[in-house]
Amino acid sequence: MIAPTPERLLFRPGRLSDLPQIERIAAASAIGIGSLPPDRERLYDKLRMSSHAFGAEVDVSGEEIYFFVLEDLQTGQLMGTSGIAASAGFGDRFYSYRNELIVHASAELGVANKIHTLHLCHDLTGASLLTSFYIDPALEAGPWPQLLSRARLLFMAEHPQRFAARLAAESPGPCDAAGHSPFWAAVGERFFGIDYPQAERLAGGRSKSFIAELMPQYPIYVPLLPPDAQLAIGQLHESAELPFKILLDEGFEADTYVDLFDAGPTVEAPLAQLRSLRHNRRLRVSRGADENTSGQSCLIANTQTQAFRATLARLSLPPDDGQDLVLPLELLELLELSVGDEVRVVPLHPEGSPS
Amino acid sequence: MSKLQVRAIAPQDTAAFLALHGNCNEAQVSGLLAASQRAFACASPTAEMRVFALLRGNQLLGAAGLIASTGLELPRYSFRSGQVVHASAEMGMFKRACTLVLGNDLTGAAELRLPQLAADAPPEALALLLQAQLNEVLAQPQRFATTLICELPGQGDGDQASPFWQGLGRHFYSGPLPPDDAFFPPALRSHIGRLLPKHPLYSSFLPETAQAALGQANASCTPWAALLHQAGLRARGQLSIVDGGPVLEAAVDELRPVET
Repeated sequence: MIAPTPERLLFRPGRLSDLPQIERIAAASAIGIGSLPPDRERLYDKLRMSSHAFGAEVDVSGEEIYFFVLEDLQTGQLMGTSGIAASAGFGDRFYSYRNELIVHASAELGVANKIHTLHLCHDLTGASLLTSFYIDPALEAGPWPQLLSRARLLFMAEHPQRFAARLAAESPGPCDAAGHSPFWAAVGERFFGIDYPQAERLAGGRSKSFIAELMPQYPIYVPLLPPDAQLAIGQLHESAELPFKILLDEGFEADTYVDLFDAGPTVEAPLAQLRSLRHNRRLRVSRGADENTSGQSCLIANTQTQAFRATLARLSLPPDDGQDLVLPLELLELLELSVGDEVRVVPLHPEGSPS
Repeated sequence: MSKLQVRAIAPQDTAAFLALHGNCNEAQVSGLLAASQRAFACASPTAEMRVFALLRGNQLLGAAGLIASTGLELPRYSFRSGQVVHASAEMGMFKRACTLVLGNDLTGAAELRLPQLAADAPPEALALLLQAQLNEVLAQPQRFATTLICELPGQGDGDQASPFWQGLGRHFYSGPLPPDDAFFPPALRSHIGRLLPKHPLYSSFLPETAQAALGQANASCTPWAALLHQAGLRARGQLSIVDGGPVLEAAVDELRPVET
């Protein structure tokens, strides 16, 4: 692996003052990201809602959204964003297509055909949703995408009452350079008469269920779709491969649901079964010497909400949870920790894989 | 020249029927004729087919089947074409989408089968056969269902060229389709219904050629269709599951006589 670069990136909640930089990121992000509209007003609303959620006492998941950023502390530049919606489709419905097989059989003809169908469903309504993942292309090859995606899971591990027991994440499906999705062209466009970029713009301003209600309500028989639309089902837009792989490695399952608009895969899993949830440890910290450059690469996060901070570091994890994790002053300061506070740590790579 | 007459087909017509119809054997024809005799004698709506013969003297010029109550032996499938409206005032959207719903709606109806004519049949042959079929129904309506239908062949010529089948059916049954047969309906045409989608389909998902074929009768049956129209039968949205051809329907008590 590539070692964490010398400069340090910090994962923290987004602030209203981040707005200009987030606008820049939204403009750069691929079409289909859906949750990062290139629109100042809406980004501002998003940040305001997020700030409110981080500051609120929450004991059950609801309309909160949590928006995080990845900051390069040397330059002050934001290098990425990620988010969580506490309850998908809150107050309304969250639509997906569910893959099903229907067997059409005739004993007389000795035929049993498995027919792939897509069923409009609300199965994921109320699940918590990972959203808004974007990382600067310069950082894609290194370990930082792991921090940007998985630090959210450490936040959820620390604050489970704020989230649902089930977690899902949408990924954009294939589209061409002009933003046209073959799946939308075969399904949505026949109902709306508008192309995919137009539909995204329409949906962006409202809840997606608003458009979903106007979509075909009966199951779609996949063999009746044009070949390019069939091939697009469950496939990824190339920009989504990196965050998608991180989620699969965490233990998300990708075979059941696809997006209504472009048929990109919607992954889901019980929160508690994800790798970062199962393998993270909560340890008390004490102050020690400089960072241990021979230690194990880990995600490390404090246990705050508004002041949630996470980063990557090489750590010598104590063999036993009763023992302190010794951190250098720099890390204590970065994560806003005092001696005696607790942190959550999880190895960057699973046990046994190269680190 | 002796007069044209239509009567119930009889055992002595076996050889002539074989010559007229072709694709069948003597045993099948004997079976058909025996069933026809039973049907003509049956006092209640039976599933067996009455067969009418058009003759000039002893020469068989045509034949036509009539079933008092169809779809009682093998399931009778059809698509019902309908529409759903997806509307949103807020988005200024009002979209009509056509649907196809597989069903057995025609089960139990009385059914006119397509007539078969000899090459030298006179122009009035179709009208004479239809008139005889209608008279049979109107003379003893208690022996028939209250709705009379006739399924017309759709666009295309056989399954290869049928745009509706190419756009829909073949995705669910890849084998060859036997042509329909007015007197010996292939059981396969019923069995295929089992393999077709049970949920409603949006016809807008079908290729345009298949959509264009919906409810379109084959040009070969235009004269027959015109007569059925005269008799009061109309398309009401039922379609053949195989080629999308229209099923014409009328209530028996609204039937009108045809000019011969």
